[in-house]
Amino acid sequence: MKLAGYISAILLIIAVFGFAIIYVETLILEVYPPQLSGDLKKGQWIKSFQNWAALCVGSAAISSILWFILAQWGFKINRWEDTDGKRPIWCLLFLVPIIVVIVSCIFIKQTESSLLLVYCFFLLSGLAPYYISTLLFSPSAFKYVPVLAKAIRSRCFW
Amino acid sequence: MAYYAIGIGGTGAKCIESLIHLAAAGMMPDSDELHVLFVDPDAENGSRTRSQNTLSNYVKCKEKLDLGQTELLQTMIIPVTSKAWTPFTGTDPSLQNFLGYENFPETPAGKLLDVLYSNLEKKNTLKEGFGGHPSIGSAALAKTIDLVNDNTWSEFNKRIRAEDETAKVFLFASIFGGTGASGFPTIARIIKDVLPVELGGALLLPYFKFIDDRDDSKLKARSDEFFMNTQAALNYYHLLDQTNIYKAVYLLGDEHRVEVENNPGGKPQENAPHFVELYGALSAIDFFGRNFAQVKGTQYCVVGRESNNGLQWTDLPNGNVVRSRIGQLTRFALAFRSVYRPALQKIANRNSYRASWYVDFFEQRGIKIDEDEDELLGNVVKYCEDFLRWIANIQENCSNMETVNLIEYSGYAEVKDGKIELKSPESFSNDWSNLIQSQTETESKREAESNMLDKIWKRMCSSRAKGSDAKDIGRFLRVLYENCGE
Repeated sequence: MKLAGYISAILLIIAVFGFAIIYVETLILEVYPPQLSGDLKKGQWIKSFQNWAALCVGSAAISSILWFILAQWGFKINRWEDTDGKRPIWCLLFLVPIIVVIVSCIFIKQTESSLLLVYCFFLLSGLAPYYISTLLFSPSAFKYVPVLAKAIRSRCFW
Repeated sequence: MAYYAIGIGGTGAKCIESLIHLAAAGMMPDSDELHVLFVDPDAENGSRTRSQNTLSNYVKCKEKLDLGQTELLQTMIIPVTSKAWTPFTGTDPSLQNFLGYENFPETPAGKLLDVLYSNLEKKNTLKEGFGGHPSIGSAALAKTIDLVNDNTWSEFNKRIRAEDETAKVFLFASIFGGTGASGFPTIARIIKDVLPVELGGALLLPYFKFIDDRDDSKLKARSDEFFMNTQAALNYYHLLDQTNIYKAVYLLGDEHRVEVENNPGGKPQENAPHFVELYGALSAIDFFGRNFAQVKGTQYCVVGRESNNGLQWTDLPNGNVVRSRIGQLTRFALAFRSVYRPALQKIANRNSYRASWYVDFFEQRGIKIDEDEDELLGNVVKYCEDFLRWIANIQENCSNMETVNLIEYSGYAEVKDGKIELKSPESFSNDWSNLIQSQTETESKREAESNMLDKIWKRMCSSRAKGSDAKDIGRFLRVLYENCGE
C-alpha cells in the first residue's frame, strides 16, 4: 500500500511539476518569442517545443520509476556494505533525461534567437522532475541517496 | 509482583540460563523483576559460571538501555549476590572438617556420624560439590542456610519480606546428583518455615550420562547410579511427603540421555545447554503465571512430546508462542551481531554514511558512538552471542533423537571438537529460510524468510517514528527487535 502510494506520488509530482514547468516556459516564450526563420509560424513552433519538453518530462518519469524499482526491489541488503555505491547509480540515471534533452535540442526546429533559453528549458524539464521526485519519494532504504536529501527528506513525515 | 528463582547445582544453574533467555524474549508473565540466586558448593563449576556470565551480560544491557515498553529484555533480573552461594567458606572443605568431627570422634554424636557416613564420605573434599551424595549435601545445607545471619540468605529474606504480595519462589534442581537432590527439599523447607511464599520447583530426572571411571578413591557422581539415585530420592520424597510444601512440582526428563564428558566438577564441568532445561525454564514461567490462591496441596505437572523420538516447537508448552518469541530474538541477535554492530563500528571511521536507519536513529538525534556507547553495544553483542550459542546447543544437544525441528543454526555456528562455536560475523549466511523450523511452514513463507535481512533493513529505514517511549541506543535496538518479528 505504502509502495503504491510512493509510486503514485512520483507520477503525480512528475505530471504536476513537469507540466507546470512546461506551462511556465511556454508563457515565457509567448512573452519573449524567439525569432523564427522562414515560414515557420509561432504557434507551430510553440507546439513543437511543448512536445519535445513533454518528452523530456517523460524521460524523467522513466528514470524516477527505474530508480524506485532498483532501490525497492533491485538492491538486496544483506550486509551493511550493500548500501554503498548507490549515489553513482542515482546520478547515472540522470543520463536518460540528459540524452533526451540533447536529442530535443538537436531536433527542435531551430530559431534565430533565444536558443540558449530553449536549451535551458529542455534541461529543466528533463532534470528537475527526476530530482524532485527522487528527493521526496525514494524508497526508505535509500531515501538519503539523492543530493541534499538528508536536509530535506529528514523533515518529511513519510 | 517480583519472582524468585533459585538454581541448585550445575543443572539448576543451567535451567536459570534458559530462564534468562526466555526472559530476554519477553516470556516472563507480567513481571518487572526476577531475583536470581545460585546455590552451588562447587565455586568454579563451568556450567554455572556460563550461566552467571549470561546473567551478567543480560544485566549490563538491561541496566543501561532504555528500551521503553517492549518484550526485548522485558524483565529486570536482579542477582541476590554477585557470586553463587556456597555452604563452605574454608579452602578445602570436607564433611568431617565442616561438622568439626575431629572434636568429638569418640562421642555418641561422632559414632552416629560413623554409622551414617563412610570414611570416604567424611574425608572427601567437597570443593567440587557433594559427589553425587545427597546425604552429605543435606547435612551441609541444613547446617549453613541461615535466613537471618548469612549475608546472602538475609538479603533474600529481606527482599521477599519487602514484597507487597506473596512472593513466588521457584527452585531448579536435578534429582540424580548430589547438590540438587539434597537442596530441593532442604532449601524449600527452610524457606517455607520462615517466609510467606508460594514455592514451585522443577525436578530434573536423568537426562544425560557419561562414561564412569573405575577410580574409587574419590567421591564422585556415577552415571550408572543415576536411575537408582532417582528412584531412591523420589521414594524418599514420597514417603516423607517432602514436596508437600510446594504448590507445584514439575518432573522433567528425557529417556534419550545425551552423553557428556565425565568431569566431576570445577571449570571443566561445563555441559552444553539441553532442551530439558528449556522445559524447566518454561515450567517456572508456567508457575509464575498461575494463580494458586484456591489450590490446596501440591500439583504435579506433566507435559509430553508428540513423539518420544523427536522434538519440535509444538512439543513445548505454548509452543507456537515460544517459537515466535525465540524466533524473533534469534533474528534480532543474528542481525545485530552480523550486520548492524559491524555497520556501527565502521561508520565511526567514515565521514558520511547514508543508511537511512543510521541517519534517523543516530545522526538526526545527535547520538555518536563514543567509548561508552561502543562498550554498551559490545555488551549487547556478548548477550546475543550467549543466546545464539544457547539456542544452537538446544538443537544440537538432542541430536540422538531422530527428528529435531527447532532451529537451523549452520548459517551462523558450527560444531568444532564437539562444541558449538559461532562463525565470525562476516561469514554468516543470509539465507534464513529454514532458520526457525516448523512442520507447517509454507514455501512462500520460507521464501519470505530467505530475504529476511533485506526486509529487516528496509523496515528499519522506515521506522524512525517507532519506539518513541525508548531512548537513544535503546530506541534503535528496540525498533530493530520489533522489526525482526515475523
